Amino acid sequence: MTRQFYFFILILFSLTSQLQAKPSLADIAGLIEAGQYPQALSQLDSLLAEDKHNPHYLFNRARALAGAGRQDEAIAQYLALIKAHPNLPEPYNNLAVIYIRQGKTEQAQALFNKAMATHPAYARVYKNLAAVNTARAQDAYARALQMPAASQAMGLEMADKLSLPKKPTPAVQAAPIVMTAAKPPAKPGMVYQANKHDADNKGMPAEKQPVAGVEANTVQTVLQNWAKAWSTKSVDRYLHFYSDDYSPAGMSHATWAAQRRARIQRPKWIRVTVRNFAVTAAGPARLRVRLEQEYAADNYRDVTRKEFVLQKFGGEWRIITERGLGYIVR
Amino acid sequence: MKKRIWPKGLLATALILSVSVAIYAANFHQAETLVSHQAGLNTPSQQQSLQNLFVQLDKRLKQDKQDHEASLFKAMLYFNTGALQKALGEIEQLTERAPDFHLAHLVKGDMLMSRYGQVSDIGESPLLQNIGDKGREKLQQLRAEARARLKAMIEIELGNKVPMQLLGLGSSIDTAILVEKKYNRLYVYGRTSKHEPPRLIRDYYVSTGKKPGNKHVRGDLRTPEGVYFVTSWIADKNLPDKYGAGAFPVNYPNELDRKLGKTGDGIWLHGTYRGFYSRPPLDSEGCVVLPNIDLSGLQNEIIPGKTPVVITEQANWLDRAEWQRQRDEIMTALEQWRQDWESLDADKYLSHYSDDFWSKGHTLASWSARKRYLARSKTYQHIKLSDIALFAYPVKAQQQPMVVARFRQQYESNNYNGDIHKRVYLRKDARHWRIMYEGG
Repeated sequence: MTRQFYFFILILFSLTSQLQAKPSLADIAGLIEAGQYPQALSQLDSLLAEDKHNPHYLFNRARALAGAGRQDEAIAQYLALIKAHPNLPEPYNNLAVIYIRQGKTEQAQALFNKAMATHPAYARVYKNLAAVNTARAQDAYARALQMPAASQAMGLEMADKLSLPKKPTPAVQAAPIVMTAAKPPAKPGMVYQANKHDADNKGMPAEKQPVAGVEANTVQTVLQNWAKAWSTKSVDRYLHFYSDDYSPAGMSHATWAAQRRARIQRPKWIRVTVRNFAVTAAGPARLRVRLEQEYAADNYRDVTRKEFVLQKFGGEWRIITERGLGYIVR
Repeated sequence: MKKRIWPKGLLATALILSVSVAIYAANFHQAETLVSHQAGLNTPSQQQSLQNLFVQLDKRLKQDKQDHEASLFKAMLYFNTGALQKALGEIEQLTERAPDFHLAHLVKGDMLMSRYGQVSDIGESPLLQNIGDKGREKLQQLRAEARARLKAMIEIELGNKVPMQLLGLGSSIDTAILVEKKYNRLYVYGRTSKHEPPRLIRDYYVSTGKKPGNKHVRGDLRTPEGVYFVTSWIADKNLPDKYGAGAFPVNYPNELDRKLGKTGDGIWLHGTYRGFYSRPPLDSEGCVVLPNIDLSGLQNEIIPGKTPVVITEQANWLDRAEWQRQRDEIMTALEQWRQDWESLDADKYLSHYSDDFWSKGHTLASWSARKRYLARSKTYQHIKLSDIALFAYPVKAQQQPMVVARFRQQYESNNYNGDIHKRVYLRKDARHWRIMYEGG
């Protein structure tokens, strides 16, 4: 028993010391699997110092480099390996996967064609390539038809594991894509509707005798200032251009004024210009003015024709009616 | 893009084959040999025309690198010539730039699958067999969009031709819009010098009404055909999502539409739901729908109250001489009307009006009476027409030709002066252009 026991210890010792001196490929593969690339690389370097052409060491070094994100070095390593050992399938496979990840699908394809010409076993590469491309196509189709990407369509992740040369990832199956109803676009009612004017774009009363003289000029200036007050969002000044009992369309003056105040304050900026005045008489101390109004704000623009009736209160012309006559297109 | 010159005749047929069908016969395993064997594209001149297509597409992309359609076509052409890597490179860049361009994703899927079998039509993939009714409907819509876009590219041969619909923009309209429903195409034309035809600035894919044909009644889901003008602009923040980047309402129903008893309203040029680059060709309730990026690009070109939008089933493309002849004919008719009006000879003046003439509040009878009365009160009249824009009205082939003239009219007389813009509809009755509508 004692002799046997010592013998056992001896074997154990010799094994351990051997391990320390020379790490096994399985251990290195384990390190790569665990993502411990620097450790794997340093162990591989010590092995390659003694046996610098060993294809297994070189192959694993390429894998570790790829794992560490040193893609250019990994590619160089695989290319060197392919040159030295053109009949080994795995370097083609792994290099093709790197190319696929870099989007160099045509190069990967060329590699595959070369491999197929020399070794039928490289069909594995074809499968991997097909899996990756199928997954990408499925992803593209899912986006085209607004279908949820099926979980297996995330085959790109599975392709990340292709760098294991002896454990090729099985080809991604063309799984049926599960449809769910496309989300209907939100469709609330119209938030904003352009003012409904009398849609006819009627011109100025062509042969109506216009009013000339000082009063006509005065009301034009009044309406220019009205536009200016509106443009500068000076609501109090704007409201003062209307008669004290101005109350359109069944609204009380107060309701109307409150509504105007809210609407004028809403846009970030407003620019109102008025032009092409036609002033005609509308009774004692009253003038009718037709004009073109160009309204522009950050959220709306239009050009409309309007008709105002102004009345003189004391020395002051104020608006007693205002109505839209429709869009102007010219 | 100033002009698009596509190859004609047999060559065009070869290209239809090569672009719309043979693209999808491309099989990666044969890719290297496709260049010289496909769809008869093996003669030097056909190779040349293929090369020209690339040049045209590159030009479009240089003018606007957001011209996603040009990028899609370029990828398809690469695919067609067997350059799969370039095709995929182009389509991948495109899907990154325009992730909402669903058609581009579909074509990308086809390109990726082309290695593993023939792809005979867009989206004809074994991966798309079990996609349900909704999926199939969407696939059909994307196919329809692809066909509409390709059809426009292949069939439209503009060369030096100009549309009859735009017979002049006057001196104050900088930009005019022409919509050709048959090709789902919107053309933007810019004003050139005074007597030259307008110049094509760009054209875009657009979606129109779900139902084909001219609009007549509210809710008929058709896009109206006629001469319209943009009335306003509504920013996207004031609109539901479906209108996308904003909206430009037009004045449908116009004077003629109302006379004909047409109903409905709310015909707009507008954008697309966020999350969708484009919509199927026949998809709206009558509006003309652009990708948001294109609508935004047009925002500074479109002036509410000014920009004309001529919508037609199919444009009439004229060479410059014929365009000039048609324009001169109408200009002459207008000038004759102006002279006869100025002459104060009411009979001659009224002979320019058609029997079914109307104006607001007037028939020909009341108009004639009014004009005769006014002519008697005048000792002289000076009438000057300027800024004359002419738009041929879309009519059926058997109908009498019609034109909308929009101009500035400076009027001076012993008892009245005026300076207004007018819109006049003229119709060619037998051999004479007569005014059927006049409005200020």
